[in-house]
Amino acid sequence: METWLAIAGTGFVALVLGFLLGWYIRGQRAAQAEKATGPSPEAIRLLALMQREGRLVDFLLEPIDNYSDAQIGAAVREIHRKCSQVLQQTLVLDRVLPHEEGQLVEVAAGFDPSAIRLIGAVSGQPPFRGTLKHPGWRVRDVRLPPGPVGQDPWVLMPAEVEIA
Amino acid sequence: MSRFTIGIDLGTTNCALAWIDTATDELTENFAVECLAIPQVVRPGGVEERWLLPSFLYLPMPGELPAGSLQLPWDAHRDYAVGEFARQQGALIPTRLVSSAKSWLVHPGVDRRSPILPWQAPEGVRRVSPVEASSRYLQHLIEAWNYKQTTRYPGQRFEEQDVVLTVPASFDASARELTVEAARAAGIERLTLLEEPQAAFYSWLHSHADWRKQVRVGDVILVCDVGGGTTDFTLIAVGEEAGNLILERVAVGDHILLGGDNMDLALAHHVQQKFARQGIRLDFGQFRQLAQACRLAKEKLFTDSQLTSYPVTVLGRGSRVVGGTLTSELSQDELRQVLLEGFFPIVDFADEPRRGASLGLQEIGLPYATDAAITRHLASFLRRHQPALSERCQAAGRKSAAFPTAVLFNGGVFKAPPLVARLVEVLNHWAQSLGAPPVRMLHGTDLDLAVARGAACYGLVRRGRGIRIRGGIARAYYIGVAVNLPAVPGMPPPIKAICVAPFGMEEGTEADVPGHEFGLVVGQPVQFRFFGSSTRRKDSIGTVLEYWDENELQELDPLEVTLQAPDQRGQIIPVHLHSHVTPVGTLELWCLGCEPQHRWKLEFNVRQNSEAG
Repeated sequence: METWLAIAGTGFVALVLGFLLGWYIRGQRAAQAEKATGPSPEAIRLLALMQREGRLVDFLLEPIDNYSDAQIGAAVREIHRKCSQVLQQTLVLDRVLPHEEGQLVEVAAGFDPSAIRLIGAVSGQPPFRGTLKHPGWRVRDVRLPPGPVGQDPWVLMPAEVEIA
Repeated sequence: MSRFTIGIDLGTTNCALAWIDTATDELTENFAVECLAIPQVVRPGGVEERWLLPSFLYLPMPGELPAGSLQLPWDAHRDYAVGEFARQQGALIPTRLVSSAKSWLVHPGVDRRSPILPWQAPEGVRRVSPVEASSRYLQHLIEAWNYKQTTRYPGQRFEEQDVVLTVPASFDASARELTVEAARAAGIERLTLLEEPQAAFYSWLHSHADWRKQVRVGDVILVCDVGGGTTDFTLIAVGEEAGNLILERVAVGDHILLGGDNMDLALAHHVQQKFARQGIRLDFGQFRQLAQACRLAKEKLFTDSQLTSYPVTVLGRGSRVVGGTLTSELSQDELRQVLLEGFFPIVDFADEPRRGASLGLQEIGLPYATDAAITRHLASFLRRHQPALSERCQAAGRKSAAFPTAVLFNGGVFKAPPLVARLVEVLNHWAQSLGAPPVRMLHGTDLDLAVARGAACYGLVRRGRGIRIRGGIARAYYIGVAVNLPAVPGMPPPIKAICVAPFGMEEGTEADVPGHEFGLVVGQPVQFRFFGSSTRRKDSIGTVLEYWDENELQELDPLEVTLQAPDQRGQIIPVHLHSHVTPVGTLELWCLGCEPQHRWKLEFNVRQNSEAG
């Protein structure tokens, strides 16, 4: 049971990460185009890909309290595999710091606080020495293909109608 | 001569393109063969490059997809899809999907130039002919080349290059002719055909500079090519002439519509039955997901024999993705049962492929193999070609039984080590029972791309670079002539068969068929019955057969000719037959009269047209 939870847990982290990165891109684009009014559909494209390939939106919006861990685990394994592929194909990710988790690292003066977060007993002046708890993620490149011209950018997933 | 030689594998389920740049390589056998990453639509509005172009054509109805969904970097207004997206979308809407066009090219009894695909599509659905579908796959490859390569090599358009196009060794004269027709329609002029198993062997030769050390005089190599949709066998013999090794293709098998896709489908059906026992019925989209999940499970289980089973998951339909998720699993035992025992069972050398009731792993229309056991088809092939095998063994001074001495595998199916091991086991079981030494395995070709690569290599071989596999045409061809006997009611009039092109007739040669003159009426269509044989190796041109075994001669499409000579309408003109194996690799038969202008080509007939006309 624990393994299922672990899978569900890791899957979930990856999924939320994808979600957040979507919003990150949107923020970037919005900042570039100051004239743009209203919300930008940019983030939708990444999310739509995650939904198309891995059913991410269905998963996040489905109440799962009453399902067994095994049932959730089985679904998450699939969702994780497919969303992970999308993530890796669309975003080129780097670690912010190249070290292994748990290693001692030095944070020099003038560090970028948006890229490095100091936690714990922070006092005195840089350079700081501490243990790397999370090496961070940085997006080096976004390879989000444009959608077809006729695609309504606000449709995350088209309704499906089966003709008998 | 063109700068590049291009090899195209026009497969039943996947196409690939490889090329050699003759301007950069040195004059050795180790020139570089590169493959083209083929841009294709992989989702609506999404174009990505893949090494393989799935041979699927999707014909959407107007307005079915958002505008621009199918556009390519070189065509913003494309209204059909070829490749990955076509396959995916077609799995959901099969009535608009053209698949296995190549198998339709070799299907007797349908008009392959008329729009019959998608087969049994409802009224109002766009249709294309098998020739047209094949042509569109080639067209896509040409466009991809011109889009990508001409920026790297300005002016080197596809149309300027020498192209080798592969066809199954089992393709008969008319299927080859139709393939050439599809290629010409796509704009390929500088064309040569090559048999696929030979192409795989050329690729092996290319990747083994020391191949002369790996084979010996007297070797007979079995090339076993199991593609997505077809299985093709060929025997290549190693001989010696004036101290040099020579290679000769001595036998090819019949067309067997059975391949890797049937195996994936069989697995999916197996798991579907497990669901059915729990009272769960899968819909269309779920079955498609199941087939993909089974393929993944197969790959995982085959590459890691430590795994005892692998989960097979079908996510819920509708928006209840977790609640509707179905799970099952595929175990090593089941995988082995379904694939090894279903497709590669250990059988005796004397076993015949079963005929009769077909299996539940096929679509309607095509004459799929009714016996899924590839090993039984292989045994049958090797038995049929015993004369060719023993000839080679005697020539090499070997006393042991007539059996191949080595085997080369080709096709994505053989990425699974257990399938290779099983086939080798079966071959050696037969070898032992016949008193022949065990079969050696030739290693090291790219199972997916070897055919395209080998075809590009053959382009250079034609320019005198590298050894050429001899062989000529893989079948002897005959036309049927009515015997002058009183007709017996209820019996077809007896015919005799005249050999018009012997087995092994070389490309680029032509010959008169001696001893037979026909009087043909000008302006009236005349039909000849036409036969092929892959086992009658000794007949020479003009040989007349009064009797033959049904298994020896297969009737092909009839041939038809209408003598056009406006000034002589209604007259009877004496003609004789003349055959020509073109440099491209197709067979042409001509009726020649006494005067130089009296040349009429016999056309491979299209049955439905002849009925209508």
